[in-house]
Amino acid sequence: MNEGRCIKCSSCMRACPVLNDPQGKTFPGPRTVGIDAPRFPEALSIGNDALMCTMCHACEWACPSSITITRSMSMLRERLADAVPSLPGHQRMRENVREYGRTVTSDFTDWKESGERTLYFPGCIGLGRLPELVRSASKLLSSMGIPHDISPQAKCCGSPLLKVGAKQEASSLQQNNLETFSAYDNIVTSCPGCTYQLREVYGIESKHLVELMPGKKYRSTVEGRWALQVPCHLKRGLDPWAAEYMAAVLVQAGVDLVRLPEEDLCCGGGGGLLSGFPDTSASLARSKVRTYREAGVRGVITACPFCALNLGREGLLVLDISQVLTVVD
Amino acid sequence: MRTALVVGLGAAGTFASICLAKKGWKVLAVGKGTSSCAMSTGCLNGSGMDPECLRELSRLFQASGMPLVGGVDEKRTGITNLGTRYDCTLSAPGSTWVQGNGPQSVTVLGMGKHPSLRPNLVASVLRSWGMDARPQIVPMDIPGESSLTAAFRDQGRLDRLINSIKEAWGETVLLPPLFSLKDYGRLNELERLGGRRLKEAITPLGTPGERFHQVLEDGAREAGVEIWYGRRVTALRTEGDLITSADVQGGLETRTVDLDAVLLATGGPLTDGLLLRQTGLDDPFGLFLVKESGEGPHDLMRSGYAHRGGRLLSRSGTPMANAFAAGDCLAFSLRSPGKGLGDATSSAWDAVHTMEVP
Ligand SMILES: Cc1cc2nc3c(=O)[nH]c(=O)nc-3n(C[C@H](O)[C@H](O)[C@H](O)COP(=O)(O)OP(=O)(O)OC[C@H]3O[C@@H](n4cnc5c(N)ncnc54)[C@H](O)[C@@H]3O)c2cc1C
Ligand code: SF4
Ligand code: SF4
Repeated sequence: MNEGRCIKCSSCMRACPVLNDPQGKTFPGPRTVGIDAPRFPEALSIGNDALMCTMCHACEWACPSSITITRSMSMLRERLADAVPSLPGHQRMRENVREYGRTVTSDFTDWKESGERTLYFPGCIGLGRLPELVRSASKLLSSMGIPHDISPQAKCCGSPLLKVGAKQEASSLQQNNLETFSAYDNIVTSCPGCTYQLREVYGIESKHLVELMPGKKYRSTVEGRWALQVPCHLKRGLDPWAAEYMAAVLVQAGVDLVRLPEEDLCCGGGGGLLSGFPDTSASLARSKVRTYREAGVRGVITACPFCALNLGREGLLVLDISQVLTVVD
Repeated sequence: MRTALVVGLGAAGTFASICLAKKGWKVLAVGKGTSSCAMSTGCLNGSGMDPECLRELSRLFQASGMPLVGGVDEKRTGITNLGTRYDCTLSAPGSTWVQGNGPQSVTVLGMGKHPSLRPNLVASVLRSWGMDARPQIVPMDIPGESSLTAAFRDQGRLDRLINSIKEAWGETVLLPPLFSLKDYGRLNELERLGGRRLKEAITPLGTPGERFHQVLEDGAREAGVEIWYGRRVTALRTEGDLITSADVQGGLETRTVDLDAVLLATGGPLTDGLLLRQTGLDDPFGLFLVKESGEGPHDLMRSGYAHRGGRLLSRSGTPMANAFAAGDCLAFSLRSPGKGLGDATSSAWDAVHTMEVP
């Protein structure tokens, strides 16, 4: 790790959306959690407040010394998991995974098992909370000429478990999933968190739907002015170009798109914040929703189920990119 | 159209990008992390700067709503957030005054317990250099780590601030920087409503540097520069003395881009621009000559890329055909706070005007 290069400039702290939120006062901040605390024998006395972070990578982007702060914070999370009782929301999530293999229960039934070469991996939140998003992503993939399966055998990617330090459970999910994946040549996702986990932790070549979109023509199916909600893991985690494609594809399709400087601020839904600290998570979402309302847009377009869920809860109209486009032949 | 790749989105890289775009280059500017410029106080020393360069810089600031005041050699003074005196030649209007024309009596205004400006400390330092100063606190609760810029978008807080300014003693009120570039005009408004002359304490690692950076970034967008932020140039490929392409890495992706010329504005070791080795600074690309231009072999503050008028030299000392550099990564830079921004913009101007490629 490269924490030794910290120059104590606090750029990470200034960039952190949780610290900048009135409900985020008790978060010790990225420098404290990632760099300072782990150096001391009393590190674990920092307690569960260290988990008050969405893993949005904003601190990492801000760091002039290129310190991989989110990774450093994850290491402390791992140590904390054994030392302090886990938060009720995180506990529930782990129980769900133990019981159903997913972080949330799901009554999704539109599985596709026809032995295609591509597996569409929608992820827990899509399957459990936003089945219409999964169906529209699947439909778009088909019309893009990508026939695919959706397999009930594919379980949680393990990312949420790693975020709460449950390394063992995450790696047994990984083993199960890799077995399922072995029947396919390509894995396509619609959740940036899953994509990041598959690429960075599993080390396999998965693609987010958005990354497959350039090169084809699309038509908008929505009216009115829209803004973007750029997912953190897509832009800062995986591939900054993918976020740019997203905008380019929408504009080409004829969506009336407004680019706001705040479009890539975290929605508050990631990193276990939503399950562990629902009030803070909602407060972050509310302040984003306020920004969008002030901009006078009809709603926002995103490419992440967590963004869709968290901003949607605050009453904003949020659609996935697959819900606003059709392919033009 | 010829393509220039600019590496580094600090003061040097962003300003050079603007100038190159205006000279007809297609510019791709790649950068990552908070630049020194965004961490600086946004005040600069323009001595030695080409008047044309200053004109261009002034034009950018004028267009942003936060004009630059001062000149190449004008002496201006302000007060830092520690109460010490700060001299420069160019700054935002709310930060400094013409030397000799400063206030006799100052109220130092703290925002609750926020650590941005500690009124008792600052007032006592000011008194120690002969200024009549008194501390005052605006009653409000703002957590220490949170940004004042966000807090003062709230009208209720602004109203309380205006009341405190009205009650303040003396001719001038010193306060911490509160407004982002977009809201800079509010400082004038506060001055009018509060009935006192206002000065922002000169503060590094906060809003003033971010504003300075924003002016340049907006200028670059306006000039049609393609900006790839959050990405790092990891390798440059050569054919003889010519750089032909570059690898750019962002997230887990890496792309290769073709180019006709490259301008390195990667900053010093602090921002990861030069490698810090046991033996001194080195070029992370492994291509260019790095030398110490100071007294001793370990004078890190003075070492950096060797160059001729901004043109880089190969490791064997011969000039490169299409590689240039500006700013803190150059050997001539003193890297002393207070001179860096002036050097960065001047050297960017010089490099752009020597940029001719085969
Ligand atoms: C806390 C602080 C306060 C200061 N205060 C003042 C002041 O008040 N007045 C003043 O005049 N000067 C001040 N300075 C100095 C001044 O800010 C710098 O000298 C000046 O900004 C340097 O500009 P630059 O563009 O050369 O480098 P930088 O601003 O450092 O920019 C270089 C950029 O390039 C990026 N980069 C490096 N390598 C790569 C790569 N391979 N790929 C992509 N990007 C890369 C870096 O991450 C960085 O963002 C201050 C500096 C600091 C740190
Ligand atoms: S990842 Fe995001 S929320 Fe977490 S500390 Fe960094 S900036 Fe803050
Ligand atoms: S931004 Fe990086 S260098 Fe600065 S305090 Fe944070 S971790 Fe340290």
